[in-house]
Amino acid sequence: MTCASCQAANPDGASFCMSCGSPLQRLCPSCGTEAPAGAKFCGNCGTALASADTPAAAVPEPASGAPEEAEQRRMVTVLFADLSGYTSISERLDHETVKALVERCLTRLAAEVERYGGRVDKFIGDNVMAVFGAPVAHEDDPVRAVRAALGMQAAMSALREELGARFGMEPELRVGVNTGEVLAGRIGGAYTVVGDAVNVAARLQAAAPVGGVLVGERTRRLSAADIVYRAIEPLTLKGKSEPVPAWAAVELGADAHAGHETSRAAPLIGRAEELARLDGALDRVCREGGSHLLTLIGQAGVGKSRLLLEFELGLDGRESAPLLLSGRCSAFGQSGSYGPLIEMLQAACAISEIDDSSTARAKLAERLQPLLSEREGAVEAERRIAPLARLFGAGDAGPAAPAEDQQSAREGFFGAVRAVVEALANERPVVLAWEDIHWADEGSLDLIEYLSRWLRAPVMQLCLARDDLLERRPEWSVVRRTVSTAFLEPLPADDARRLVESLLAAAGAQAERPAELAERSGGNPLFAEAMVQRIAEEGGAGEELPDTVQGLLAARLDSLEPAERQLVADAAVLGRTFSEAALEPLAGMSRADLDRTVAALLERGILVPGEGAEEGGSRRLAFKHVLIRDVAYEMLPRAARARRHAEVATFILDGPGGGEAASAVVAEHYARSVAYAAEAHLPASEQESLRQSALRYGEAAGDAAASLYSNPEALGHYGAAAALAGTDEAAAQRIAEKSGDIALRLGRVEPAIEAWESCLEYQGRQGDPVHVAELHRKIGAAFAHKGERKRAIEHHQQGINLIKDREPSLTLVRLYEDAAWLYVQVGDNMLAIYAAEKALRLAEALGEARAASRAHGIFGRVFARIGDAAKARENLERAVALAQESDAAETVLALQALGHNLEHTEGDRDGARARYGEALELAERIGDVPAQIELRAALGQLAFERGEWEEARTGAEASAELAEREGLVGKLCLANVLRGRLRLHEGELATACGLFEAAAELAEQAGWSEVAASALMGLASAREQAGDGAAARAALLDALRVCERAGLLPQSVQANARLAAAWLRDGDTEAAREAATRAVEGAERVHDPAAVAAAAEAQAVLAGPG
Amino acid sequence: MTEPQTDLVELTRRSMMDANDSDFAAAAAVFADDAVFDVSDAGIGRFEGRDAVRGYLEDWIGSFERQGFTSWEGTDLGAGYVFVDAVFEGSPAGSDAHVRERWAFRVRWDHGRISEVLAAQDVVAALEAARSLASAGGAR
Repeated sequence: MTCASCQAANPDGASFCMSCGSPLQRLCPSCGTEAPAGAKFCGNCGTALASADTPAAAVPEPASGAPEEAEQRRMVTVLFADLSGYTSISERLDHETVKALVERCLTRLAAEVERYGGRVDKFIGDNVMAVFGAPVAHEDDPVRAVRAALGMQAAMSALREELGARFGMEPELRVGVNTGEVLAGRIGGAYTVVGDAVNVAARLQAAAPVGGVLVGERTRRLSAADIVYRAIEPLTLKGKSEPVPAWAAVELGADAHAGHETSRAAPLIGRAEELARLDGALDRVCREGGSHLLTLIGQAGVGKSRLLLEFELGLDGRESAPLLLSGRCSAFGQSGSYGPLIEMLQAACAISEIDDSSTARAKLAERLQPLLSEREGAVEAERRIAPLARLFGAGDAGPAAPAEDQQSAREGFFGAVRAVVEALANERPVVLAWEDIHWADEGSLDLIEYLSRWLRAPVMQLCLARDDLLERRPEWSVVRRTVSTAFLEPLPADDARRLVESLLAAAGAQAERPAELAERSGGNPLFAEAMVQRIAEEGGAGEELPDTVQGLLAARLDSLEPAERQLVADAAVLGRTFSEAALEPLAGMSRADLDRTVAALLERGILVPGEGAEEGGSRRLAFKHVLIRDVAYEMLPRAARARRHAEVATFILDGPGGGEAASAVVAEHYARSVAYAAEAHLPASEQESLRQSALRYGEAAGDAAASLYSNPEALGHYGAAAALAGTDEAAAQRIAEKSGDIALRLGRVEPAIEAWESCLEYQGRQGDPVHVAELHRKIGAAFAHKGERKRAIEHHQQGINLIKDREPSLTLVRLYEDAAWLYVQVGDNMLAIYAAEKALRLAEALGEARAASRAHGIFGRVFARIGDAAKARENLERAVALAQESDAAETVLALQALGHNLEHTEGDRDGARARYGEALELAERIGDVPAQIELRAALGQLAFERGEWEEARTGAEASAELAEREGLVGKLCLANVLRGRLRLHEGELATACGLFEAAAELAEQAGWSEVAASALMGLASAREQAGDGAAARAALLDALRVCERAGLLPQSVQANARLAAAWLRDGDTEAAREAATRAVEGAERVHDPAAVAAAAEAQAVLAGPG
Repeated sequence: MTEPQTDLVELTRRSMMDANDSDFAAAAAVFADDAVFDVSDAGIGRFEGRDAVRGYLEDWIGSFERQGFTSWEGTDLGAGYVFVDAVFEGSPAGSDAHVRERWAFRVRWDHGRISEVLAAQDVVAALEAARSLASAGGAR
């Protein structure tokens, strides 16, 4: 025997080379049979053997093209195996012999790792560390690792017997297996993985009993369908603060060979067309008596097996129920050569898994001999059965054919299969279901093709395969008369949503947005099921990728060419959809290479054309499945993500679309960059630079959103930016102030005040009184809005004092404007006139049409209040005219004010409606949502006054919908008041009360005293109608308190007048007089028509008896 | 500090009437160089220095037409303090509409000049505060 390593001659039967110590025999990676040195194929199963022996101590390098060019975060399963039990022989045998024996054991262990697609990472003395999932992932790496571990123990058992007899060596093994995320890449020059998952695997191995396999929680969960486990007490492991759950792997599960059970938890949704196609093919086979090969191709989890199951269920209902024989190919070849055929024969001949080979052969003969004899005679039948019997063990089937006869032997074998299938089909039609043939051995694929050509009987071959099959056998999809291919695509959106809902119901789980979950699943039923299961088990919204899905997709990515993989990783940073132009600078490859690689990814279905085209004709591209993008992204190390995101941001900024509109995207990239940079502990200077960019663009994104009234988004951006401000106090204060502005827009008065007050001290230190005054103005306005008049005045006062003696400024104008408006509200008409006059003069001095418009608006309201309707109209119209010259948003406000005046002062509802309508149209055009909410409600209110109920309802609902959609909860009170009035009108008193109460509460929260008072008075009306006088009075007193607190004079006149009437009805004349007096006195200070009318009623109370 | 025995109420009234008649020079003449006219309580501002006070008076009076005090009642509280309870009426410029406000002024005299005027709208509270201050000898 010649050593393959050193070519030295060795005696027959030697296990190791006497010259170099290399093993002289190798094990078949498929079946474990020993193969002599130099053998190219396994003598037992025919599996190809490596061309040269691999010394056990040499760590195999990954194959060329394996995805280890760059560091990656990967989900892997790590196996540690520790060999022991040979110390005693060390005393007796020469240490070279001991070494050789140990190496033989390690080689055997390595063979198990390789057999299941793992990679020996290193040998540490007599310890093996193996990794499943890096550099190449399989969808079932945890299963593979545990199978390898059990295989190692079985191999050691066998070796112990052999080596014990020959050398007195009794090797023992402890194995630990653990699954988790690691960083994979070259560390210290060698490719390896690092991470806690590795440490835990090593600790599990140390804790394992001799002959045992301990696995961690994640490994068990991901392999529970294939492996039988026994729970053990959680282990206290070194370096772990908490006990670690662990399980002992006992044996392969009963279903381990059957692959994963196709779920029947949910009904088959969609797929009617595909099912009809299968039925149609079978119909034709039965009708014409010929054969047909139909291959169903689709991505993992898309529902091929589920469709087969449904097809199978339908067979029983057929007139002549066909015989269905199915066989599945295994991902890691444990089914060996012709594995699916063996399964089919087992089913056809009632051979069970536990039958030994002689029993199996006997059953085979018993079933097939009569069938074949009838057609071909007994001798021929026996000749046919012989090669098939060999599938169940050599037995007395005779020796394997010599190599020169291999081709004819194979033809004989195929012919035998054909004869058997035809004989079976002679009884009734046959369906041969070949599952997962993308994993099939070459022999099986050849056999299927052979059968498709030569079968002359009613046989339908139904093959299920992933796209990979077409890479192995591109000609497979060539259509012939008896061959067809169908592609199973992901479920359309509606079907996917229905599926998710059905799965959620079956699992008793809930998801807030099933449609989003369905979209995220990409219409892949397996992914949807895994996500729902995760929600059911762990809660959440389905954002976390289930490990099973992650494994499937990682394997898919690893099957790509290195350049394709790299491009996918680059594209993943850009998001689900992106432009080809954006990819170019990231990819760092020539245009031609980029085109070629993109074309390949499109061809492989990783990418699809995106919607629309960008400027310059750059194509939009998209990940076909968002989860592919997510997995590719997750595989990037954090440092790489940090830098890639920053590069993308730079690219966007430099590109043609890098304006304000892109700021949110840029901010998002920088924010991610900062977060990952911190996690990856990038150099401080680099982190600082990223932080500054993130801060800058985060704030810009907030500004952009604010300018579009996207208030919640703006607040989100500002919040994120504020978190990045760090020690940059100026930025922190600036952003806090802007956040306050947006909070007020959203009706969140308290947070707004809090934000601005926090800025006062800092701005004071900066020596910018105008800025400080502006903050006082905002705070004052917020307090005024809240109805806290005194505090509002204090802040206006402080603002005015700070800057009234300086150069005129817009802030001063606005301070006077706000003060004037406050005075108008509370009936301090002289002060209102003075302040409005100041505002107008200053605005004119500044040449500020917008400010002048506001001042005229104030004047208009003052004149309306003091009874000069002509001057009111004149000023309000002037306000509109000035606003129209300057600013659309201002025009909306001015039109609103004019409409309000027409409605309430002049009683001109048509005019009011026209103005509100005009304002609404403009507000819609410029996207002024808060104004739209108010105007919709105002128009609804007008309709209510006119008795146009449907229009009133429309207005209320439109206003409410907008407020809810935009998160402007405070403004919802407007719609609720109107809804309450409508219900009151319809006599639904309880509902009306509820709506008024809700409106009052919201208005109070938002500091909208005027609306709160209105809601409370509505509540009083509803309670009055319900006959609850005391409760009605309580509501009026609440309204009065709000009016007095906020200085709402006209409303307080009305509330007092109504209280007077209420007291009078209840017989308390004294209280009625007091209320009436307050109403009349109040009315003297205002010229509000409604208040005047109310005062007249109060007069009647005063004039009445008593 | 004790103020010479002069009719502070009358001096106060004269100054306010001068302002009312748009004779702002005369109205401001009785104010000390560093006098303060504080209308903070109403939210209008605190005017410091004679010129600023004059400016404020010009602005205020200039905001109205046919303006004047329809009621004016001054009380010498001692310690240099005069309390004025007055109703001011007028029409906004260009309008016939009528407006009126009741005001309280606490006027402090030092060395024959007004050193401070505190304007307030809540007359009762202002009077109480002024009395309390005066009885304490003017300590601020």
